Amino acid sequence: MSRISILNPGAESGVAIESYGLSADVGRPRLRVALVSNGFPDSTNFLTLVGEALSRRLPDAQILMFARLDPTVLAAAEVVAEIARSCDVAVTALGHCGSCTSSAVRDAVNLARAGVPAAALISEKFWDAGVFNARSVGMPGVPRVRLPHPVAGTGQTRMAQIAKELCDDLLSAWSAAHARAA
Amino acid sequence: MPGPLEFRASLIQAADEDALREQLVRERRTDGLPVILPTPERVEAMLQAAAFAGLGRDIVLGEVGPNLGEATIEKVAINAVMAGCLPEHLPVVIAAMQALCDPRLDTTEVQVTTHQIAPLLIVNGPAVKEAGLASGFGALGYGHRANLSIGRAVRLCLINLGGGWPGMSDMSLLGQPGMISYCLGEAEDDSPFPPLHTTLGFAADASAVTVTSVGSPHSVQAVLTGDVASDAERLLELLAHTIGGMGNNNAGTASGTIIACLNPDHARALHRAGLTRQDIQAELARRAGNPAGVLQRLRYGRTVEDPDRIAPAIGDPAQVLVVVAGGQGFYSAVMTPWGGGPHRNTYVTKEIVFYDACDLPVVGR
Repeated sequence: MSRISILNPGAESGVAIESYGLSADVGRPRLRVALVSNGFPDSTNFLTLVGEALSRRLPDAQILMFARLDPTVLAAAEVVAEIARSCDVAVTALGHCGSCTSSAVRDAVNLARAGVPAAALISEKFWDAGVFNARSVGMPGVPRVRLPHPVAGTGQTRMAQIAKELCDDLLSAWSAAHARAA
Repeated sequence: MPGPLEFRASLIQAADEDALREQLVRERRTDGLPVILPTPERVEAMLQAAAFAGLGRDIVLGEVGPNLGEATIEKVAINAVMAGCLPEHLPVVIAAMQALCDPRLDTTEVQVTTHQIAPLLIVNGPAVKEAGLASGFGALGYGHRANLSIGRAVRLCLINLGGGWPGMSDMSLLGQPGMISYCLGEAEDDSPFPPLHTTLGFAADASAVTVTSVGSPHSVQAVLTGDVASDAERLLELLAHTIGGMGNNNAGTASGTIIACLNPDHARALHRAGLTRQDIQAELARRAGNPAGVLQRLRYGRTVEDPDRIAPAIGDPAQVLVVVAGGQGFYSAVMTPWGGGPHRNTYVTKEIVFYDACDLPVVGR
C-alpha cells in the first residue's frame, strides 16, 4: 500500500544532551550553601526560610544569599563563578511562573556546569515547565524539588512550613541519592 | 546544497492525508487547527520564493528559543506551507523569523512567560502590497489571508522550532487570539506620517518588518470635534491613560515596547495639530504614569514613602511605536508589553527581501 509523505516541520536537531552526575557530601562540616533568588515575589523571603530550616538540620552550615531583582533574567556569569568559588551546593528559586521557572532551572543548569550540585525549587503547577526547560537547555537530569502551589503570597507561617518540609528532598537532590534516582 | 526536491528535513509518512493531519495535531505540530500538508512538491514551490530572494534552503536564520531549534529557510518554508501561505508571503515570514532569532527579542523568555504577549508583525514598504497585506478595516481580524497566514506561519515556527506549547513551555495563563496570528501592514497611503520603517532608518523603497511582542489590543475611543487643539490634546490623554492603565505591566516597570496604533482619522488629527511621530512618542511618555502610592497599593499591596510621586509608564519615548492602521472612525488601539527579559521586551526591524539579494540583510534597531 502506498504511503503519503510530508516534510517534518520540527527542528531536526536540538541541543546536545548532557547528563547530570554531580553529588555533594551534605554531611561534611560547614557545608556552604548558596541560596540563589531570582527575585520572583517572595522568592528571597522563601529562600531565607529555607536557609533557616537547613541551619536547624545542619547547624554549622554556612548559608549565603545571592539575590537579584528580576526573575526574567539569569544569574550573571560572575555570580555563577562566585558561587562556584565559595559554595558547595546551591538551591535556585523560585519556579512559580513561566519566566521564573525558566530562570530557576537554567540557573541550576549553569551552576551544575560550573561544578556546583544545584537544585531548583519548582511549584507543582509549573513542574512540567521545569521538565521542559531542563531538557531545552540540554540537562534533563538537573535536580528539581517539587513545591506545592502557591508558595508565594501564602504568608510566613505557611512558607516556613513548606521550607521545613522540603529539606529532605533538597539534601537528597544535592547528594548522590538524586543521581541514582535520575 | 540539496537540489530541487532534495530536502534536509526528515519525512513523516502515513497511509492517507487524514491520518497525516491527525498525526500533526496529535504530535503538537500545529496550532490546533488543521493545516495544509507540507508535501515535498508544495514546499519546493514555496522555496522558489526564497530562491528569488537569493536565499538557499539550507541557510540558517538562527535558533528559536526556548528549544533552540534551527530555523533554516527550508524549515520556515515547511511551516509557511502548513499555515496556508502563498509563495509571495514567504519573504515576510523569513524576515520575521530572522527578527525572532535575534537575541534582542528574547524569544526564549517571551515564549515561557505567564503574560499574554505574542509577536506582532508590522510590515512596511512595497511588501505590504506585494504580499497582499491588509492595513485597513479589520486588519487584525479575520478575512485577510496574507495577514493570517504570515502570522500563523510565525506561530507554527515558534511551536515547531522553538518548542512552544501551552501549559508545557508556554506558560501564558490565559493566552490571547494574537497568539495564533498577529500581523498587519501599516496603512502608509492613509497615513500623514512617514512610513514607520523610514523612521527606523530604512529607505522608503525598502520593505521591512518590525517585530515586537505585545499583549492584545486595548481599544481607545475618541470622538473628534474638529477643534484641532482640543482633539489632539484629548487623543494624547486618552492614549496615555490607556498605556498607563494600572494593570499593565509597563505601569509598574516602564519597560517594553508600546504600540500606539492610530486609525487614519486619529493620525490626521494629531498631524493637523503639528505633531510628528517623535512628538507623539514624547507626549505619550510625558503623560503616561500614575501616582506611585495608588499603583503600589493596587498592584502589590505595598505602601511607599512618596505616594504622590508619578511613576512613569514609559521609560523612554523610543519605546513607543506609533503605527497607522485600521479603518477610519472613532477607535484607535494600544498594545502594551510584558517588559521582561534581558532586553526588556524591545523591538527589532529586519528588511524583507523579495528579489536578488546577495546576502542576508542585517539591519535593525
